[in-house]
Amino acid sequence: MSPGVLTRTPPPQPTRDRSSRFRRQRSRSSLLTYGEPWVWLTGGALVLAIAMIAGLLSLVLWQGLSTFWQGPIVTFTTADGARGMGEIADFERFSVDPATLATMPEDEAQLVQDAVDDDGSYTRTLFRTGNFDLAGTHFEWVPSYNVTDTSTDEWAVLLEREAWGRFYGTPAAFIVDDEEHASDAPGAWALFQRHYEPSRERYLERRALEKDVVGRLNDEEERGRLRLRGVELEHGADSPEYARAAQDFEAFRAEVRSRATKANEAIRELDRENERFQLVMETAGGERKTIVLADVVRAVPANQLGFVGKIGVYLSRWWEFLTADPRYANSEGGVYPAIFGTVVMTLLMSILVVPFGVLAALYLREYAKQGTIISAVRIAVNNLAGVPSIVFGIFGLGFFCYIVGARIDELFYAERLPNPTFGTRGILWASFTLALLTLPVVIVATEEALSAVPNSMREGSYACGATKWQTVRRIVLPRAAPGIMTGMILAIARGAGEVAPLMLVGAMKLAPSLPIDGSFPYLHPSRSFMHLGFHIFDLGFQSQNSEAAKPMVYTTTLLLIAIVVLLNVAAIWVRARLRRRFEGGTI
Amino acid sequence: MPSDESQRSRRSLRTTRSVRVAEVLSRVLITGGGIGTIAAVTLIFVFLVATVMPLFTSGEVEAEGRQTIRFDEPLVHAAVDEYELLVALLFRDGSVEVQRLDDGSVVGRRAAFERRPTAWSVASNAEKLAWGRADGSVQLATFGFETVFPTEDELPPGAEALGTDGVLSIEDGVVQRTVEGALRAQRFHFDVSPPVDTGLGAEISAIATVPSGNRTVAAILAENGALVRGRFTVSPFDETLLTFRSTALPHEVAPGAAPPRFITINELGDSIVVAGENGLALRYDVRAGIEPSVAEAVDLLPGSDASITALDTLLGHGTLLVGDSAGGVRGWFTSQDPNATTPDGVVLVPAHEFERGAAAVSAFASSSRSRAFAIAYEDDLLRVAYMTNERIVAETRSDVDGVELLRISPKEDGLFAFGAGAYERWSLSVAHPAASFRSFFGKVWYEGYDRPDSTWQAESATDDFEPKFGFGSLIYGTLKATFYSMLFGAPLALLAAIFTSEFLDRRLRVPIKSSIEIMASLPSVVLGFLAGLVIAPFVQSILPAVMASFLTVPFMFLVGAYVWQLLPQGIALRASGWPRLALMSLALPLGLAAAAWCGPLLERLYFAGDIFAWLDGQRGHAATGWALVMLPVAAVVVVLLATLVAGASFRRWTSGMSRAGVAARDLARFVVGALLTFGLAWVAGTVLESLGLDPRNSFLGAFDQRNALVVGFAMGFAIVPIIYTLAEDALSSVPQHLRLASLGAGATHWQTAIRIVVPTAMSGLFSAVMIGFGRAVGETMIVLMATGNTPIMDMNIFSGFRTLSANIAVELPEAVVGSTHYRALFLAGLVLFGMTFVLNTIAELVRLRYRKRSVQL
Repeated sequence: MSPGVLTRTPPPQPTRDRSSRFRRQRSRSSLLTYGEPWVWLTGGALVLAIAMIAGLLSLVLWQGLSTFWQGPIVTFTTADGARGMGEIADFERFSVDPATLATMPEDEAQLVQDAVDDDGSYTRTLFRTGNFDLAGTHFEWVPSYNVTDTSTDEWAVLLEREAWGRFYGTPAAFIVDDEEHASDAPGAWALFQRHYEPSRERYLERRALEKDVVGRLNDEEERGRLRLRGVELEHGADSPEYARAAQDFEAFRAEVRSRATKANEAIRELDRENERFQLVMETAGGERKTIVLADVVRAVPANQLGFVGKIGVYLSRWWEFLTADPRYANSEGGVYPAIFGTVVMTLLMSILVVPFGVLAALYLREYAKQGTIISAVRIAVNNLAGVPSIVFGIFGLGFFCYIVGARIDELFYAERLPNPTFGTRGILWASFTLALLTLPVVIVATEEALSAVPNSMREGSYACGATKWQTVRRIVLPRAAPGIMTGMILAIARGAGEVAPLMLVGAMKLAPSLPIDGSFPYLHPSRSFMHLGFHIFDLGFQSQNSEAAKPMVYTTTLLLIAIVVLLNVAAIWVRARLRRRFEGGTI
Repeated sequence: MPSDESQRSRRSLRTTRSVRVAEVLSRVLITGGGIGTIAAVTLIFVFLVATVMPLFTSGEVEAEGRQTIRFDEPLVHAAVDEYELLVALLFRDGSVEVQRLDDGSVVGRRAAFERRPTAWSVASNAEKLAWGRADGSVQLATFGFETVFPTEDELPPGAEALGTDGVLSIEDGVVQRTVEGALRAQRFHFDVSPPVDTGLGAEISAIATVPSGNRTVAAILAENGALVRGRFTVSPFDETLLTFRSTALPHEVAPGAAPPRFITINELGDSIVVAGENGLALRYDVRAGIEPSVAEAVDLLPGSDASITALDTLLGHGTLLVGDSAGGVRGWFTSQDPNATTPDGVVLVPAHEFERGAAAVSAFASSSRSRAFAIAYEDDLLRVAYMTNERIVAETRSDVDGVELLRISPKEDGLFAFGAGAYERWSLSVAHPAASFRSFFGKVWYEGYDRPDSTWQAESATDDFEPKFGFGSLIYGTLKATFYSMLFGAPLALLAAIFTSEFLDRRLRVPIKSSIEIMASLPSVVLGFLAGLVIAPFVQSILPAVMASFLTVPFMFLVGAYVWQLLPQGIALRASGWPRLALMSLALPLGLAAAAWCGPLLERLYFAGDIFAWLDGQRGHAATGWALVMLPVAAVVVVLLATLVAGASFRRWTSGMSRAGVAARDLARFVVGALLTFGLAWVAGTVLESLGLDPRNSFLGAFDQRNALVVGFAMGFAIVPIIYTLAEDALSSVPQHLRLASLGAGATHWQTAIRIVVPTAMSGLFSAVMIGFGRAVGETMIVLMATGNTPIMDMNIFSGFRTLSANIAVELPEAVVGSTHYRALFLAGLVLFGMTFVLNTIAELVRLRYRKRSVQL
C-alpha cells in the first residue's frame, strides 16, 4: 500500500474566472500556448490507464461469469466422416502456411483454399469435447472448412464425473445388475433419473463414512501411538510404565481397528450397491462407455434445457464451486478448502496484526518522545511497506518454520520427531509472516488517524484532569477508530491477495484436511492449507492440463478479485465517511 | 494544616488507585508493545544478515593428533572411510595395511601384488586405481571401504555390550553401534583385476584412468614412447572378465619439452594431456570417430622456469590442478574459443590461479563431493582451497616432516597428511567454500565456459556438478523487468496524474482516482496469470499489431488534438470538460483499430512478411528494425526542431491569423513533422545498418512467448496505480495561489501546469517514480508467471529472464536448510531488501524535503 493512498488532501481547483476567459478570447495567436497536443497526450495516458483496468476487470468478469453457463452441445461431422460432440469454447482466425498446404492431400488442400479469406486465414472453432478417458484430450480445434455438418442432438447429455472430467454423449442403455433395462436414449435417461438420486446419496454417505469414520479412526490410532511414544521418551523403553502403556495401546488399537473394519465393511456394502446401476453412454463417434451412476456429479441434458433450467444448472455449479472440494486434480469441482484456508489465514493474520500495529502506532505517535530517532523509525516502518513480499516469505520460512517451529517441536512434540509438527510450513506461520508484511500498513494508517485527531481535543481532555491513558482511550482512540479500521481493511486486502510469501511458508496444492475441523483440538495451526491466490498459480502454471483448468482459474480469479476489491471499496467508503464526520477538525 | 472539610473535598479530587494503575500499565504495555513490534520488524533484517553471515566465514581446521606408520617403503595411496574410523595405506612394495584411526592399531594386512608396478594411476578422491607393469600389462583395482551390517556369528565377542561410543575391531575393519541401536561395520574392500595386456610391449611409464560405470578410460604411455588411449570394459556377464581396446596416438614431443612424466585423461575420454616436468605439455584430441591428433601444445607453467611438482584432477576430472616448484597453483580446463586453431575448437586455459605459497607444492588432495581441494607445500603449510572462486578456505601447518600424500575425507570433514613415518589428522570444516563476494557479485570462470561469467545454476542431478552462484544474470533480469515496466508504466502514470490534477473535471476526479487506487490492490497473482496465459498468447498472435499500437495510439491522440484545435474557440472552451475526455476515450479504440489495420501492413513492409522469422534473423534487413527502434528518438528530434528552431518563426508567421487558420496550419505542421519523423527514422536505420549494426542483437531478437514486453505491460498494472496516486497527491498539493498567480499573469492552463505546477511538485513526482521502481524490483508473481524464468542476459524485449525474486520463489522451497544454496537465496533476499530499502528511503527523504518546501510556499 502506498502511503499516498492515505495522505490524500482535497484536490484544489483550477478556477476559470470570467476575466481570464475574456482575455483569452481576444488574443488570437495564443492557440499554440494551449499545448492542446500535450494535453491530449496526458489525457490519453489517463484514458489508457482506465481502459487497462476496465479491460482487465471485464475480461475476468466475463470469463469468470460465463464459465458455468451451459451452452448447447453441438454435434459436428467433419469431411472425413468423423463425428464429434462438445460445447463451443472459442473461435480463432488461423492463417495457413503455404508450406503446410503443400504437404496436405490434394482434396483437403482444395478445401482449405476454398475456405480461406483474402488475407489467407480461416476460422477454427475450439470444442470442449471432454471424454478424456477415451480421447486423451479435453479440447479439440476444428477448422471451419473441415466441418460438413453441425447439429444439436436432443439427447446429447453432459455428465460431470468424479474422475476423468466431463463426458459428452447420448444415453444408450441402462444396466441394473448386468442386465440391460433400457436400450434407447429416452428410456435410459428416464431410468437414470429414477436411480440417480439414491445412488448419489449412497455415494455421499460412503464418502462421509470414509472421511469421518476411517479418517478419524486413523487419527485416533495415531494419537494413541504418539501417547505411547511420549511415555517411552519420558520413562524409557524398559520401564514398567512403558510396558503398561504399550499394553493399553495394544487393546486400544485392536478396538479402533475393529471399528475401522466395521466402517470399511459398510463402505464396501455401499459400493456394491452402487456398482449395480450403470449408464451406458454413446459418444458421437459411436464408442460406448459404461458409467457407474454414483460417479456422476451432475448430468445435464443441455439441448433440452430451457432458460430456467440453464439458470438452475448455472447456480448449482456456482454452489458446487463455492462449497465443494476440488476433484480431478483441482481442475473441476469447488474451491471450498481454498476459500476456507484464505479466510482462516486472513483472520489469524488480522488478530495478530491489528493489536500490535495499533500498539506500535500509539507508541510512535502518543508516547514516544518525538525526535530524530522516532523520525528515522517512522521512515523505516514506511519503507518496510515497500520491501518485496518475497523477502518476508524468506524470513517466515527461515525464522518461523525452521527456527521457532523446530524449537517448539523439540519442546512439546518430541514424540512426533523426526516428523515436524510446527517445524514446517503451516497456516500459523503463514499468518505470522503476512502479519509482519501488513504491519507497516496498519502502523501507517493508525498513525495517520491518530495525527488527524486535533491536539485541541487532547489538551481539552488534559485540562479536565484526565490522565494520558484516559485521554487516549476515551478521546483519541474513538476518534481514530475509523482510520484504524481503514488500515485494518487495507491490511486484510493486501494479505488476502499476497501469494509470493505463501509459496514459501505454507500454501499447498491440495491440503488433506482443513485447518479447523471436528477433531480435537479443532484448530490445527500447524497444518498446511489451500489459498485462493496460490490455487490460481497452481492451476494455471503447475497443472498438467492448464487448458482444461483455465475456466476454473478464471472463476477463482473472479472470486479473489471480488474479495479484495470489496475489502478495498469498504476501506475507501470508511475513509470517506471518516472524512465527512471529522470535516472541520483542525490539526 | 487544612481543615477536615477541605481534606474530604481534596480526597474526592485525588486520582483513584485504579486510574493510576491503568495509567502505568498502559504506558508499560504501549511502550513495550510498540518497541517490541518495531524490534520484531528490525529482526527481519538482523535475521537475514545472521543467516547470510556464515557464507563469508572461513573454514576451520583443528588438529586431532598424529600416528606413526611403518614407512620404510614409500606410500603410494591412502584412503579414509566415510566415518573416519579407518585408514588404508598402500605401499610401493604392494603391501596394504588397514589401521584404526583412533588408536593406530592395525586391523588388516595383505599384499596387493607381487611384482612392482612401473606406473601408477591414483586419484586422491576415487576408490579406483590402476597400475602399469614392466611387461606392458595393466591391473585395475578397487581400494575403498564398504558399510555392512554383520550377522551375529560374524561379530567378535563383546559386540553385544558395545555402546554407541565404543568401537570394536574386526577383521579388516571395525564395528560400531549406530544411534538406532544396530551394529554397523566398516570394512576395507580390496579387489584387483588380473593383468590385462595393453599390447604396448614395453614397460609402462605413465598411466591415467577415469572410471565411469562398468568402463574405465585410460591414457597409457610406454617406455618406448608409444601412447594409447584405451578402454577397459567389464563384461556384463562375467565381472572378472575385463576387455581392453585401444587407439594409438601419434607420439610427439613438444619443442623443448622434458620427457613426459604426467598424463591425464578427462571423464569422456576425449582429451588427453601429457606433460613433462618443465611444464610443456601436449593435449591430444581423441574424440570418438575421428583420427586422434595433437590438438595443441601448451606451457602449463607460463612465464616461469619452475617445474611441475604435483598434478591432480578435480572432481569430475574436468579441471587439471598443476602445482609447481615455485609454490604456484593453477587450475586448467578446456574452454570454447572462437579463435581456436585446435581441431576440437577448445583450448586449455589457466582459468584459476591461486595465491602463491612460499615453497614448492608437494601434494594435492581433491575432495570427492565438491570442487574443494587441499594443497601441501614443502614448508609444511597446508591449505584448503576452492576452485571456482579461488578462495583459500582454511590454512594450517603440519608437524609431519615433508608431506608426501594428502587426503580429504569422503565427507569433507577431515584432512590427512602423510609424511615420513607418520600421518597427522585434522578435523575440517569447509563451511561454504563456494560462497565469496566474488562468486556472488563478480565474474568467475566456471569449468567449460568460454570466459568468466556470473550465472546462476545452483543445483543439478549429477554429483560432480559445479554450483554457480553468480547473481549477475538474476540482477540483470531484475533490472530488465524493472526497466521495461518503468518504460511503459512511469510515463503513463505521470501523464495521467498531470491530466487528473490539472485538466480533469472535478466531478470525475474522485471516481477516477478511486478506481485507479483499486487497481493497486489487484493481487499480483491475478496479473501474473492474465499476463502468462492470456496476454502472452494474445500478443504472440497479433505481434505486428501490438508493435504498431505503440505508434498508432499516441498518434491518434495527437491527431485528435489537432482536429480539436480546428473547433471554434467558444465550443472548444465550453466542451473542454467531459466532452473532451469522451473524445479522448474515442481516440483509444481508433488508435487500436488503426494498429490492427497497420499490423499486417507493417509485417509485410518492415519484417519481410513474417515477423518471427525476421526476429530470428532469418530474413529481412536490419534497417527496418532500426527504423522502428529509432522512431521515438526521431520523434523527439523532430519535436525539438519544430519548437526550438522553427517554433518562433511559425509563431511569427501565424500571429494575427484567425484561430481556424492557425489550427489548420498547425495541423499541416504536424503532418509534415510526422512524415519527417518517419523519414528521419528510416535514414537513421539505413545509416545504422550500413555501420553493420543490427537491433536484433540488442533491443530486439528471437521471440519467446513469455517475454519482457508482456511483463512490462502486466507490471504496468502493478506500478501505474502507485506512481499515479503518489504523483497526483504531489501535484494536487501544490498551493492553489501559485496556479492562480500564473493564470492571472496570462498563462494558459498548459503553461501553468508545465512551468509552475510540475516543477514545484518535481520532488514528489520523483519520489513517486522511486517507489514505483521499488515495487517493480521486488515484484514476484508477475515475473514468475509471465517469463520463462531462464537466466539469460540480453536486452531483447522479446526474450524472457529470471529475476532475484522469482528465483527465490522457485528454489527456496527445495533448498536444503543451512546449505550454501539456501544461504545464497537468503543473500538474494537481502539484496532485494537492500535495493528496495534504499530506493524507498531516497523517495521518503525527497518527499519529506518537498513537503517542507511546499509548506513554506
